[in-house]
Amino acid sequence: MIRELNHVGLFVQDMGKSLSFYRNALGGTVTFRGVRTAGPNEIAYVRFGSGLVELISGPAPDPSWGDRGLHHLGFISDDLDADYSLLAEAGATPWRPPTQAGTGGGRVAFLLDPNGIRVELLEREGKPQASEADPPGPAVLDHFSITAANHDAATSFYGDAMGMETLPLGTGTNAAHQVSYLAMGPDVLEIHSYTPPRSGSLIGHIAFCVADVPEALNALARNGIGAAPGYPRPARGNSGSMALVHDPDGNEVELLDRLPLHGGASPSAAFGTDEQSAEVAVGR
Amino acid sequence: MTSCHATTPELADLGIVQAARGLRAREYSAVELLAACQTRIARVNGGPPSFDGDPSRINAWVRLYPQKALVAAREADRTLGIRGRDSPLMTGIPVGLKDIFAVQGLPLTASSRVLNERPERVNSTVWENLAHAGAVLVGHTHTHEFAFAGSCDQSGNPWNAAASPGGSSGGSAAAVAAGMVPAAVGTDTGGSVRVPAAFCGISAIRPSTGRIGTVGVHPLAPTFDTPGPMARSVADAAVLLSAMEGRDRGRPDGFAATGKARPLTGRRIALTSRPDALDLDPDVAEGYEQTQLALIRLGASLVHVELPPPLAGVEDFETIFQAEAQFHHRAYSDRLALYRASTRATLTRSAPDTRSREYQRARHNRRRESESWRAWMKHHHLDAVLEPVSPVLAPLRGHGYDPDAAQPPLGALVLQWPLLGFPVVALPSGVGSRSGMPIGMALIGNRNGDDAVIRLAIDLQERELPSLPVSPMALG
Repeated sequence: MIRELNHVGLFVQDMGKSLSFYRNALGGTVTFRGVRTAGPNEIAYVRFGSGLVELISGPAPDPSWGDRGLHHLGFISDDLDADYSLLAEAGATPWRPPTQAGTGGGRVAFLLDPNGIRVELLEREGKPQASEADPPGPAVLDHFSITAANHDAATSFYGDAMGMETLPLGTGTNAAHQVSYLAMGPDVLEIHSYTPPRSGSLIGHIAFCVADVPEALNALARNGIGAAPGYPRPARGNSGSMALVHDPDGNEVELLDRLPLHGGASPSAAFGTDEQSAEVAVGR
Repeated sequence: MTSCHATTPELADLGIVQAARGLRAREYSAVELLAACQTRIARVNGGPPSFDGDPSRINAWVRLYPQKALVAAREADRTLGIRGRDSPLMTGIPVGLKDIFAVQGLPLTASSRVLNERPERVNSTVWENLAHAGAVLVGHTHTHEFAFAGSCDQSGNPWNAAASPGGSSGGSAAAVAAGMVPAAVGTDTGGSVRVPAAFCGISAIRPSTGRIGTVGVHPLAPTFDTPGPMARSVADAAVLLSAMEGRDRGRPDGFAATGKARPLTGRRIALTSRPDALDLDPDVAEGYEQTQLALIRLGASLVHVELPPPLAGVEDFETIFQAEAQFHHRAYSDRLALYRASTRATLTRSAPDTRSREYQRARHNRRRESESWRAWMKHHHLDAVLEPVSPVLAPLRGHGYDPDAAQPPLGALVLQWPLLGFPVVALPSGVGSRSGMPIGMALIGNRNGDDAVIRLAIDLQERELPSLPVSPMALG
């Protein structure tokens, strides 16, 4: 059974720059840092509330690994072999059969969802790296967005096969743009479909809730990071404001100052003015 | 204000297009137009804005902003002085906004005690666009609490204050029908601009779902929520619609009635079995028939076509509506006692959590139904579907917030169109010979065929079914 939408994996150019963005500027907490067991890749997990961002740097492990950017969605499974088979039957394409995890903790497998998005299944030993009991930071993960050419296939895969709950949110029956939100606990996946289809990364952006978007932008500006042109602007549904910024690899990061979509912890008060947080655990 | 009352009381009766013409010709100023509207408000609203209203009063407004409006009108006069005929059409036009559209620096309460009155930090997209076009915000209008239902009982109908203005955008409809403003903005989730427009004898457009941005609109059921313009004529509503989406080009030409003798020659308009299945009020039945005859006189072909097989229904609308509305009201679960009784009953009576799969299935059914109807209209070469907005006329007010009262079937025809996401123009066919109350007709276009059905409605209104004057109560 799939238990948790655990993380979004980023394949980054420069671990130092990415940590400076996600840890120092956005205020995440590094919960794991190490080198991949099977190769030269460096891996770091950064926690935001009960959600995780995985950063992977170094050369691509093999040619099929793909470009740098938002790379995969990681889910926790309590029976990796069974879930791998079930998801393959439900329309996912097997990509990497079950093997030992790169961090050395537990086992891992990859599939491609019906729209080609890389889905990682993790069978972990020991305690999870992020939980609702952990103190929230100034930014908490709200949702990951993905783009699906086939909307029904995506909602059926994540809803029926993975067991995620469809949230009653959305942006209309507009034939040119459909949006659905699926949740597993406090973790939410935002599925966009466009007619005609749009090109670009299949994983679109990572969204964080902060207490106050203008204040978060000030904190980011102190770290030399500016908002995309036209931001901040009002968020959909009369719920505060939102802004788009880009991480060092050009990935889209959305900041929102509303309550988390599906009951996750609210962000803690303000951003600090200096270094945000120390590494609390290295290795395991 | 009193000096203007003596010289320009008729200014308040002008529609957007007429008023814009006079403003650009400098026949009167935006400040004078605003003063005329404020004088009308002082005369017919029935006193200052109130939360609960009074059975004999219209009470269209939640809050009025006289100082801000005066500043905006002066600014509009400056723009008109500099840009003249190049000004956007909405420059200097007084408008009301339903109390669920955020305006920076002003409170937003959705006609409810649940929300506090802290100032909003950002503008809704609709207001951003209207302000940019130079519109003058007169005030926020009453809504059925949180836009939840169709009666808006704290406001009265300008054709008979004892009757409901319809809802949820009842304050917007009442303000326009009484000539307090030439136009107002509402939202339509399941009928909320069409029903009040029909009951108050004005014109309104529910555009294709998704056409108008809903950023900064307090959500009810976001996959249905659709901002819509309300005005005394369809042509005015079309101008307001353009401005709401940020394309006020400064001329109404795109929507002017065609000059031909029989402008609807070759148009095919469908009549379906949907109204026949209902017990229509005799005045509504008469209005429906008169509208059919008017369309024939304009050259249109009326065709009776069988409906496509149902793939989704009212139960799917309800599933989606309940799930979404409950989701958004979860944030106020600690303030249940502050809701009006019927809203609280709706939020607590129905199943607290619609199952995720039911919700997903309902949305899937909705998509299939929309595709099926789109193909059906294409297959039969239909330009529009005609039906009454509501099978009934405006009911007496006073029971809309009573959870135990039997509610009249005012929404029996309205839910299908938001389920499909199709555009609808609501326009009056006249005043009932028995009731003396306005009757509203609906012309439904194919998905994203908004402009075509709006033009058709303008031809119908300007040639055969003239828009109604401001209500007798406002003139009296």
